[in-house]
Amino acid sequence: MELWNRIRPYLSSLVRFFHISYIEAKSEHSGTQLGILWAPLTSLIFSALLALVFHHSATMGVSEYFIYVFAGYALWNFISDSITGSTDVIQGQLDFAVHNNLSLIGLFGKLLVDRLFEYLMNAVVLLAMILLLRPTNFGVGLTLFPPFLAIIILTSLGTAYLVNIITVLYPDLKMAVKVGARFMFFASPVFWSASEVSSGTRAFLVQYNPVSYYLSLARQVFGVEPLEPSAWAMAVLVSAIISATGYLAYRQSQSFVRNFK
Amino acid sequence: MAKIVIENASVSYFLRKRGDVAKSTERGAVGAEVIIGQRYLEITALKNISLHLNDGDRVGLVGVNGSGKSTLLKLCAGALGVQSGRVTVEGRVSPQFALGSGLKPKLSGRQNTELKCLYMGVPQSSVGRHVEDVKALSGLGGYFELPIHSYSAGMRSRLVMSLLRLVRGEILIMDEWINAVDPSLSAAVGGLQTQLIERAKILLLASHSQRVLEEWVDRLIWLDYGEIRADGEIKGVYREYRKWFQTRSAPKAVDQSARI
Repeated sequence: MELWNRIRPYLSSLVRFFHISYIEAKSEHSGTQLGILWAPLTSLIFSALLALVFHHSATMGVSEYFIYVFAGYALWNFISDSITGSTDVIQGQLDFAVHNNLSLIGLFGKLLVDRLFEYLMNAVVLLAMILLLRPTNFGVGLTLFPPFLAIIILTSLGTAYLVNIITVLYPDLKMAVKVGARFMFFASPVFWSASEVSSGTRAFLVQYNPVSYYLSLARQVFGVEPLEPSAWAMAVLVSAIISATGYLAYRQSQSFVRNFK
Repeated sequence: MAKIVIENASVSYFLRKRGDVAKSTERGAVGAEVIIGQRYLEITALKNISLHLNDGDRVGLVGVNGSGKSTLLKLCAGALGVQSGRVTVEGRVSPQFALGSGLKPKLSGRQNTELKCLYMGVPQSSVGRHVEDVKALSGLGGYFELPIHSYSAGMRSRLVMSLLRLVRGEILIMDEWINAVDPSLSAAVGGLQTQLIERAKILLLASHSQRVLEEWVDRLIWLDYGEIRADGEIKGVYREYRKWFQTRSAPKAVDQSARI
């Protein structure tokens, strides 16, 4: 009971932030018949197109490949938003946040919830697709969803702050970040199979591109790929480095960065 | 209990160098000195400010444009950081810097009100009731369902004033806009501002208007070039400030446009 009383305010704030994300996401599609459903629908359609056009796997059928791509693309959107959506947070949105009782950390937390809201909408559709197309995928992997969320939340927060501070200090990097994110989309196994490459550039990318580990985790959770502890260990390591660096950058820069006009 | 403690705080703004930076250092009638740093232009807007505010304090800020009033308000609201010194704020801060700040122009009055309810901590079960209250109070009718970028200034003012009902702050920080109320607003809407100020444990208000300051504050701080030039009972400090203001050289007194 005491524990519940302690965590209740945090849960209440979380639900409140999700409600805010819902209102804002709904307003982006106001005037359309499908409204907020367009958010997961666009991911679904794009994943289906990628699966159809780029289906190259000898071991996976089209439906299985579609689930593989969708699980990766849903997380890719989250990663991409964490990077490209964080270039102007403090300079562009802190004033709005302060007027709405949000601190600097609260602002980054609110934007994180926005990204999570979109990801969770896609995850619900993904679960429905798995239930429909590959019900045998459901398994023990789903129990890893909470630790998976914890990993991507920490990484996303650290990445968002680092991207913001770097682009504030070096404005030219804004465009580099956008181009880099586009490059990362192709360089990460979003729509090509990581397990079917053993040599060449793609094998190098699978091994040395940290995004590939996060994509693998997302697929393991939904039973699209077999459980692989080494991928979890690598993702935890990368997350720890990014979140620790982000925290140190925050401690060092939070007075300066708010005053940068 | 609410309090604000500022100890020897200095605050600078940093700007990227653009064009001929040497021209930026030219001194005008207002504003702090612009210093050319190694990588950035630096404007020291507050210098070694110390201030203690406790429950019941009603404090006004006065000074010419660029004297540091807005910077001090933003510092207390957490929108700016200190380069040296220390700031401690205890209590929930409610900043009201400009009419419409904290609203999203693309969203309707209803959606903005829903968001404001959620941000302000209104229980989710009573958000609907509060939204209808704000709608009725604002008198916006059908406009409440339209994006607020389509509102006239008066309509926006009505919505903002009606939203004050939702504001819950122990420390109220206001910058000038107290005069921006549409004269056609009903007494009920206008009264919300009074309630808000009366409810706050600490009021920090920047204004050029002697009438507004005399109505709401009992202590006045005069800021000049980022430093506290006088701090005390309102009448005495305002008299001193006016006297100084009138004795400034004419060209300096005229130029009031530049702000940090």
